Amino acid sequence: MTSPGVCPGGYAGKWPGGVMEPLVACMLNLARDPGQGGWNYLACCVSEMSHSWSAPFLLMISLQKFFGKDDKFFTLLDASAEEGRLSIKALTEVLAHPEAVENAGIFQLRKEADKAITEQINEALVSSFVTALEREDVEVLSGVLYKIPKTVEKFVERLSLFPEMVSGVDFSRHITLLTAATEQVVALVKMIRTLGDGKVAEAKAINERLQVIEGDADKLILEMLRDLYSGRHEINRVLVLRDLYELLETVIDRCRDAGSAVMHIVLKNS
Amino acid sequence: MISIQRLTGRPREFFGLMEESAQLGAESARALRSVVTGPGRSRPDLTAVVEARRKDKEVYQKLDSLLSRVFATPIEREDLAAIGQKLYKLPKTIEKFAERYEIVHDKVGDTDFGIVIGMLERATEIVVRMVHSLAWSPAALSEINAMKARLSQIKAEAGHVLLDAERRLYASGPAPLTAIVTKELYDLLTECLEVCRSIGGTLALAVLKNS
Repeated sequence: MTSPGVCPGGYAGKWPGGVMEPLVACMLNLARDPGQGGWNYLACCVSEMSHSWSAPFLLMISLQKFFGKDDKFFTLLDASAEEGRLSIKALTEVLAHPEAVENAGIFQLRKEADKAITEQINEALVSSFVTALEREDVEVLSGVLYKIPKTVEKFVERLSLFPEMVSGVDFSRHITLLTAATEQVVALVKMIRTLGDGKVAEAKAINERLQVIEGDADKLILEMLRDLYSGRHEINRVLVLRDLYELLETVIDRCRDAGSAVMHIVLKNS
Repeated sequence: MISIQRLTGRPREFFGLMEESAQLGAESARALRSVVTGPGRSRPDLTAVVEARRKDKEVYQKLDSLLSRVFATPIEREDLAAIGQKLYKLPKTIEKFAERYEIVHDKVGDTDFGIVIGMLERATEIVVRMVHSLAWSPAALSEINAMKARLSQIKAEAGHVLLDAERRLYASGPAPLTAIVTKELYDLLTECLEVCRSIGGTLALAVLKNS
């Protein structure tokens, strides 16, 4: 460690290797002496720390944490969106052959994984002094993202009760919409990292695609219900399929909600 | 301080959008009456209901965007967001009812939804008056509370009417499919009235905070 030899408080060279103690001392000195002396002291402290092998790294991390630039939330939100995507990917595989549904446990695992991420986010929100994004916005987005695998799990649970009831049902249009929706959600959540890079228009375009997908899903369920209520189906089948169609619509609604939550963040930070 | 907040928070823009949204909700309820009272068993025309919902979505998006961009708001940001969201839910739920009704109108042709839709119309008009009060005479707490109580009363009365209708439905031994679709429509109407009641609660809370 080099000695700058100019610090008016003579603190240089004495700190025990941590970062917060000299930093707090510098701040207090600056408060006592807001003139050039205080600033010189702060500058020499930073300079001194930068010569220590671990100080630059520690200083950077602490300041990032202090000012909320830590990317922990972005990583967790990305992971949550990815869990939703994987859950929907597994769902589309089930929907390709719904009558042969098995291994529903994988959906529970996906939901539990997402729940763990959501809990980590909530804990981090409580323990962080300042967050890069507004606390409420992170909370809303993580809650909506968690609902995606949760609703998917609910759908598969229902499906596995009466797989024989869905034989012959074509879910291919649902698969297309679900896949498209989840891709847009993952892309939108990734964009939160690059807030301020003038990507509002890009985010709006993705969100509009999500809205279109949700509109198409609304039309699809109406079409399906029109057929179900035509009187050509057994009443048990009507009840089972209506519940399943509504749950699939809810999954896409959740994707739309996630898009709206991200847009809210994007607009607020643009 | 509250007055300064109201003055600097672009009240005309925020409250203007909220009033527009409430009026579109009322328009949507009026349009619903013509959907269910259309001539005979002909296919109902949903154009007016769909149009009201589409316009309300635009209004809601404007409000949401304004909330994200503006630093100062006339009342708390969270209250504005909650009211805007609930106001938009009204034409959305009404449209859902109309769409479901359109699919099954030939199976529920004899069912009378008019009484409850009349109640819904009255409820949406009260919502319009409540939003107006919040915007331009926020001190009228007792007036707002009276309107909130009226909304709850309408919801309760509609609940009785629908319960009675359900009793008559099951007593008549309908075809299972008719019972299912009629019950679904009753539930959606209940949801519409519940949305009105919920808007009333949120508006009353906002007025209480700012009184």
